[in-house]
Amino acid sequence: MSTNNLSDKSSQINEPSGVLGDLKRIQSASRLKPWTDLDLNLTLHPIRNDIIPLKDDRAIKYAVRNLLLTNFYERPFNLGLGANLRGLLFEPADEITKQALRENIARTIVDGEQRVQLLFIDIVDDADTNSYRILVKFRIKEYDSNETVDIVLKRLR
Amino acid sequence: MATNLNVTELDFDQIKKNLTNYLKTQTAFNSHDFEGSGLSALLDVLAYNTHYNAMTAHFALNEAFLDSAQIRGNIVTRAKLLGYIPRSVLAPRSTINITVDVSGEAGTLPSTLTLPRGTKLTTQVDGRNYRYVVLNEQSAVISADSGSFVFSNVIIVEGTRKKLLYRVDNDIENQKFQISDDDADTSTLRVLVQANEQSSSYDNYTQFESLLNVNSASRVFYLQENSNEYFETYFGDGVTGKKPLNNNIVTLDYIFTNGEDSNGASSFTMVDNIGGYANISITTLAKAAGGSVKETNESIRFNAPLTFTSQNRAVTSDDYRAIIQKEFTNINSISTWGGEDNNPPDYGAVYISIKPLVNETLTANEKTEITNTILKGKSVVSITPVIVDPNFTYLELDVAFKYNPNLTDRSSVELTAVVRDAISDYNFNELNKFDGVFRHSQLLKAVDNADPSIQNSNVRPYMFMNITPNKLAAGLDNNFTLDFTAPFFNSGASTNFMISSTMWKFGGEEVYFGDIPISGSTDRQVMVYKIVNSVNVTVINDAGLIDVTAGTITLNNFVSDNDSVDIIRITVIPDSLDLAPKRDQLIAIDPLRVQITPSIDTISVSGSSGTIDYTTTSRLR
Repeated sequence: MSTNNLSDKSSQINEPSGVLGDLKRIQSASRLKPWTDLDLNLTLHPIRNDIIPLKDDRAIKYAVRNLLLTNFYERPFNLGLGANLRGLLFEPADEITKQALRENIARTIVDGEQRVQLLFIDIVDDADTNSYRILVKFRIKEYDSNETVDIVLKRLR
Repeated sequence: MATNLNVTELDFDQIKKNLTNYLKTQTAFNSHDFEGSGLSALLDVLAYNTHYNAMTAHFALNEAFLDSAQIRGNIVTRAKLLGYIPRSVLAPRSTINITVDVSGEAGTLPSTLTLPRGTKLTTQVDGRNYRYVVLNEQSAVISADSGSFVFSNVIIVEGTRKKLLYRVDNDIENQKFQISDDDADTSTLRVLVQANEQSSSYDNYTQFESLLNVNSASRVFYLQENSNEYFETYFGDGVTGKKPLNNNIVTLDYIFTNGEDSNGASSFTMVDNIGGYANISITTLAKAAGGSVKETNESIRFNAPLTFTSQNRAVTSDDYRAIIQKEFTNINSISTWGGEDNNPPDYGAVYISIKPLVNETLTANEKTEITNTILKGKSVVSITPVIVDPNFTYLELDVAFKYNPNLTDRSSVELTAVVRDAISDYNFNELNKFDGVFRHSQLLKAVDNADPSIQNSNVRPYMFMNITPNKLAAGLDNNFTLDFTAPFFNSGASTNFMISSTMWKFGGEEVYFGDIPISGSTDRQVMVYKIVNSVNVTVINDAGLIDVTAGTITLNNFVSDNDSVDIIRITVIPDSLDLAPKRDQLIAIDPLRVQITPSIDTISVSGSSGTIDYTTTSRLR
C-alpha cells in the first residue's frame, strides 16, 4: 500500500491568497484500496489460531481462480456463473474445445472480475496425462501488477 | 447502508443483498461485491440456507390452515379436525321399474325373484356406452294376473361393482383398509366383516355418524380420505365401536364410476338376466342425475366450516342448507327458510327449495331421500322439513339498442346475435338461482358492452308464468295461484288491462284473460273476454283476483275446452325494473321471448344533422 503526496504539485499553483484559502495547506491523497477476502481453505494462523484473510493482490488472484474453477449450476440462483472448465474437460481434445475454454475464461473474467484486465490465455493440451494446462495472465488494475493463475484441468480419478 | 439485517425477505437475491449490505458496515472483509470472492461464495451458501428455511417455514405455516393449504392431503386433514369428510366421486343415479315377464316360461316358476345388487344394465349418452348396476338387492313376488315380476323403484347407479378383501391384522397399529380406486363412490360402500375365509355369515358395518349410542359392540366403520387421495376405512378400538378380531376378513363392496359423464341417461337395457329370465322390460321413472366429480379443494374449504357450524344438527335454516349441500349433489341452487317467514306463516316447519342440476324440479324419490335419509335424525324434533318446488318467474324482454355502424364490421343481424349472447350469458351467470337478482342496469351494461359500436340500450322486462289447466274432459276445476316475484305496474288508467294472456278456448270461443278494477280497492278482478269486431266482450266476469301490491294472481274455477291449448301464458309488467326473488322464487329469462330491435344511431353517425331522424324507445309497449 502506498500514498502519493501531491503537495509538491499544489505548491506550484499560483493563486491569489484569500480566494481559495491557503492552497499550501490543501493535500490530496490517492490511496490504493485494500482488498480483503475470506480464504476458502480456511487456513488457521499458527499463533492467533484465527483464519488468515487474503489481502490485496492475493485476494484478487484467488477470486479469479475461484471464478475460473466454478462450473455452471454450482452457485444457487446464478446458474451461468463460472467458466465451466471442468464441464469442458470431457469434450474431444481438439481446437474447438480449446477455443471454447479460451472464450469461457475470457468471458468469465471480463464479466465477473472488474478489478483485473485480462492479458493473455495459454492453453496447453497435455494429451499424455489427459489434462489441459491453462495459464491465465492478467493485470490487477488497482496495483498495476501482473499476476498469473495456473490451472491444471485433469479428471480427479 | 443497512445497519441491521432485514429479516422479512424470502427471495434469495434479496437475502443476499441484505447480507452484503450488512457486511458493508464492517471492514474485516470487503470483497463481497465480486462473484469470484470467497466471501461471495460464503454469502451464497448463507443466503441459500436462509431462503430454504424461510420457504419451508412459509409453506409449513400455509399448509397448517384450511384457508391457505394447497396440498389436498393437508386440506383434508384440516377439514377432518372439523369433523368433515370430503365427498367422493358420485355416480349418477336413476330410478327405474323392472318387469320380468315369465308368462311364456315353461316349468315351475318361482314365487319370488331376487334382483341382486350389482345386476348390470347399459345405456348410451352422447354415443358412449355406460354401465349401470343395481344398487340394492330387491325382491318381487310374481303377479298372478300378468305372469310377471315387477321390481319397483329400483335405484341404479353408473359404474362397476368391485369387492376388496382384507385380512385383519391387529399387530398393525391403526390398520386401515384402503379403497384402491380414486373414482370409487363411497355412498355405495358396504363394509362386511366375516370371521374367516370359510365363514358364510357376515357382519354388516355402518358408517360412523355420531357418538350417540356407540359402544364397544357397535358395528361402525370410520371413513376418511388419506394423503394419497384414496378413501380408507378403519374400525373402532373396542371402546368406541367394535374392533374386528385377528384374521377376520373385511370386505369393501363399492362401485367405481365415471362420475358426471352419464348424467341425463334415460333409456336403459339389461345386460344380465334376472334369475335366469331374460324377457325384461324397463320403465325409467327418473333420469340419471347426481353424478359429480370428487369434491374440490375449494369446495372443502367452503363446506367444512359450514358443516362444523351446523354440528351435523339441522337447527337454523342455514344448517339445513349446509347438510343438504354436503350430502346431496343434484343441486344447482338451494334456498331454505323458516316456516315463520313463509307466506302464509307455517310455524313448526322449515321450507327447502332446490333447483336441481338436471330438470327444473326434484323427483319425488329425491325429495324422499332428502327428508327421510339426509335430514332424518339431524333435524329438531317437532320441526318438519317441507320441500317445495322452485317457483319460476320468467322474463320476457324487449331490447332496443342504438349502434354506430362506422364503429363495427358487424351487420345489424350479427349485432343482434351478439346482444342475444350477452343476455344469454347474463341469464346463465346471474339468474336461475335463488339469490339471482335481475339487476336492470347490469343487464343494460352487458348489452352496452357487447360491442363497441353500441351507443345505448333500452330493456323493457315483462314477467310471465305458464299454466297448464285441466280441460273439460278431465272433469276438474282449475285453481291457480301465480306468485310473481314483484308487484305489478299500474298505469293508472283503470280501464287498461294489467295482465295479458295467450289465447285459449272456452265454450267453443277463443278467449283471453283480462282484468277490471274493483271499486274501493287496489286489487283487480280477473275476467275472461273474447274479441268481437275488435271489441272486447266479457265472457266470464269473475275469474279470479289480482293482488297488485303482493304480485299474485289467483285464478278460480275455469275449464278450458278439450281442443284448447295446453299451456296458457299470463304476462304482467313489473312495477320495478329490478326484480328480486323471495324464498322459493327464481327468475329466468326465456331466451325465446327476447325481442331485440337494433337501430342506427343517426346522431353518432351524422352529428347534429342526424337529430332530425333520431327516434327513441317508449318505456311501455
